[in-house]
Amino acid sequence: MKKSKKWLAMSLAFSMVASLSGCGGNSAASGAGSAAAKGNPEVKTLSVLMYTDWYKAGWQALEQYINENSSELGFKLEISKIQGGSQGDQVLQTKFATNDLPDIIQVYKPQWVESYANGLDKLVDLTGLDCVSEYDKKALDGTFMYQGKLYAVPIDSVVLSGVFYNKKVFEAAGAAIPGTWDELLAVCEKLKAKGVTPVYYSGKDAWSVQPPTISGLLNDAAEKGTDTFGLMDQINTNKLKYADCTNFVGSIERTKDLIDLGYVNETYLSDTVDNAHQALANGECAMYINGTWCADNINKKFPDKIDDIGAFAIPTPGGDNYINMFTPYSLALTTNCKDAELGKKALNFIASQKAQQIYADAQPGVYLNKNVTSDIPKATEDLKKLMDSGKSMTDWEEINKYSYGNLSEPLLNYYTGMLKDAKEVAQALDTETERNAKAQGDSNWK
Amino acid sequence: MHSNTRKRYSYILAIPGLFLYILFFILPAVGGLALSFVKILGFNLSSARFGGLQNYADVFIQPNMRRAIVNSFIFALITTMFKMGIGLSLAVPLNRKMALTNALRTIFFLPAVINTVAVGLIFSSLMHPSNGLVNSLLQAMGLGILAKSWLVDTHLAIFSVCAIEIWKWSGFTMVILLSGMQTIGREYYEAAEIDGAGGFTKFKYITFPLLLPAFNNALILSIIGGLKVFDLIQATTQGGPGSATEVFGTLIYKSFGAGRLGEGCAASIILAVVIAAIAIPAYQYIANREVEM
Repeated sequence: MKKSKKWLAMSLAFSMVASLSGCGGNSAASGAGSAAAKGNPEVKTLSVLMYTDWYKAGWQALEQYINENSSELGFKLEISKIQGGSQGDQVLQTKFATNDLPDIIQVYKPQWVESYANGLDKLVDLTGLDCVSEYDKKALDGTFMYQGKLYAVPIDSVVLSGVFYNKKVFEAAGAAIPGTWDELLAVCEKLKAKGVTPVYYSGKDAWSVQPPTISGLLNDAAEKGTDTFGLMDQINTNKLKYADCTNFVGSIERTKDLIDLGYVNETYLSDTVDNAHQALANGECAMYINGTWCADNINKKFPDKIDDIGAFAIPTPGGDNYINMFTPYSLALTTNCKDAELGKKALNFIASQKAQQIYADAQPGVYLNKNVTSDIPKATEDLKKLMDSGKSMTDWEEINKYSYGNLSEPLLNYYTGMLKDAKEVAQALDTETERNAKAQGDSNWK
Repeated sequence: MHSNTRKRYSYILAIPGLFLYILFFILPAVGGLALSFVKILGFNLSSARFGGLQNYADVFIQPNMRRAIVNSFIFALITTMFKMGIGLSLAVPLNRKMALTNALRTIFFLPAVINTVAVGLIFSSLMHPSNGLVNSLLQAMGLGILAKSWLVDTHLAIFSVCAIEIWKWSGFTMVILLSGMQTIGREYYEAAEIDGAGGFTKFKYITFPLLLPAFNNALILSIIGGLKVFDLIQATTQGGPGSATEVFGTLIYKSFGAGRLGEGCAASIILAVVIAAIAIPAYQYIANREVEM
C-alpha cells in the first residue's frame, strides 16, 4: 500500500513537471511555427514596450499595418504594454537598471532615460536614418537629437498649450482675442458682466494649474536671447534660480490675480479637467488654459461643439506671447536588440511619412513629420499656426533635470494663502531642485 | 529521542515560512535601513554614495514637514477618539440579542470592506462644494450656513478626511470590541444583578475592565493606522489643496516619487520609530491595568 502511494506520488509529480515544461515548449514553438507556417522565415519579430495609455488609435492602426505587411517590411512588432504613471516609470527604471529591455522602447525622451533611468548608454545611436530628412532639424534638436546623437525618433503628436476659448461666448460679449495681459483683463471684465465665468481653473487635478504660469518662463528665455533649452541648461547647472526668473514669478502672480479679481470659477479647487472641458464646450466658461488635449477631449465628447472652440497664446504684459510645446514621445532602439540594423530599419519606417500618416489618420494631431497632414480641430490649428511661425518653445518640465512636475503644490499653496508671495512658489521649485541635485551628487550644488 | 525527532521535524516545517519571512520582510527592512544612509536619486546607481545621517536630517528640513507632523497627529488623535467612542457605543447595544442585531452589525461593519480609493472618490463627490450631496442636503434642510468647502478649505480639509476615516473604521472597532465583550462570562453580570447593579454600573465595573485587552488592541491599531495614514489622504485630497492635508505618509510617498530613495527610507524608519515610541508605552500602560478573567 505504502509503495503504491509512493509510486502514485512520484508519477503525479512527474506528470506535473512534464505538463509544465510542455506549456513552455508549446509557447516557444508557436512563435517559430507561425513564422514557418507563413513560409517567410525572413520576417523577424521585434519586441516593443510602452505604457498602456500610449497605445491609442494611432498605434493600433500602425501595428495592424506593419503586421499585415510584415513580409514586405521584413519585420513585425510584438507590443507589450505596462501601466503608465509613476508606477510605470519605476518599472522602466528597473528594466533599465537590470538590462531587461525590449528591442524597441517608447519613453518620454532620451533626457528622461539619462536623468531618471541612467540608461542612455543602453540606447542605440540612430544617426543616419533616412527619415530624418522629413523633419525640421530644430524639431529634433535637444530632444531626439541629444548630445550629438540621434537617440530616438518621434512617435505620437505634439501637444501645444495656450488659452482655449469659446468663440460664441466671446462673440456674445463683444470680446476680441486679447494680445496683452491688460487686454485679457478687459475681456474678463466684459465676460464677467455677462454672467459667464471668464477663466476656468481645475485645481482638483493639481497638474492642470501649471500651464497658465508657463508663459512667463518662455518670456524669460526669450529675454535672455535663448529658448527653454538654454534657460533650463542654466537652471540645471545652478547658474540660474527659478526665483530670479522675473517673468515667471510675474506670471504666477498674475494667475492669482485672476482668482482675486473674481474671474475664476469659485469652486476651482474641487473642479476637474473634465469639468473644465464640459464648461468650455457648453459656454459656461469662456476660457481654459491647457494643452491641445483640451480640443481632443471636446472633439471626442462634444463633437458638435468643437468648431466653437478656438485658441490663442497666453497674453503677457508686453504682448510677446509664446506657446508651450510638449514634444512627442520617443521611440528608441535598445542595445538588447540582437539585429540592430533591422531595428533601425523598423524605426526608420515608423518615423517615415507613410507610417506617420497611418498613425495620424487614426489619431489626428500635430505631427513633427513635415509631410504628414492631419484633420485637427480648429483650436489646435490656431496653435499650430503659432508654432509654425516660430512662437513656440519646448516645455521646460521636459528638459528639467531635477524638479519635474512639482510646481502645482506650491502654486496651490499660494492660491490658498499658505504661501504669501509668488516668489515663494519659485523658491519652492528651487528648493526641490536643490534637494534632488544633492541626492544625485551633482557637483554644481555643494 | 522521540521528542528530539519531533523538535527537529517542527523546525524543518518552519523553514519555508521562515524563508519567506526573511525574504519578504527581514531583507527589505534591512535593505531599507541600509538605503536610508545612502544618497541616491532614482535608479542612478553610479551616483549612489554613503550619506551618513544626511537623509535623516533632510527629512526634518522638508518644507512641509511641520504641517505633516501636525496633521498626522491631529488625524491620529481625532480618529482614534471618535473610532473608539463610536465603536464602543455601537458595540454595547449590539452585544444584546435583538431582532436586527446581526443585520445592524453587518451594516456598521460594511464601510470597512469598501475599497479606500472608492471611498475617496465617493466622498470627493459627496463633499463637492457646489454640487455635492452634503451641501445640497444642508441647503434643502435650511442649513445652508453650514455648507462648506469640505475637502478644499485649507483649515477644514484635514477634519473632513478625519470624518471619512471615522465613518469607514468605526464599525471595525465595534467588531473588535464586540468580540471582546462576548468573551465576558454571563455569571459576572448575574452576580452583579443579584447585588442590584444597574446598566451603567455593570458597564463600569464589569464590561469595561474585562474589555480592556480588546480595547487596548483596537486603540493601538487605531493609533498606528492614524499615524501612518496614506491611502485615504491620497484618494481624497492627495495631500492638498497644495499641502494643506499633507501627512507623514504622503511626504514619504513624495520623497520616493521624486526619486530620493534614501530620504524616503529614512522617513519611513523615522515614522516606524515614532509609531513604536507612542504605541508601545500606550499599550503597556493599558495592559498593566487589564483585569484577569
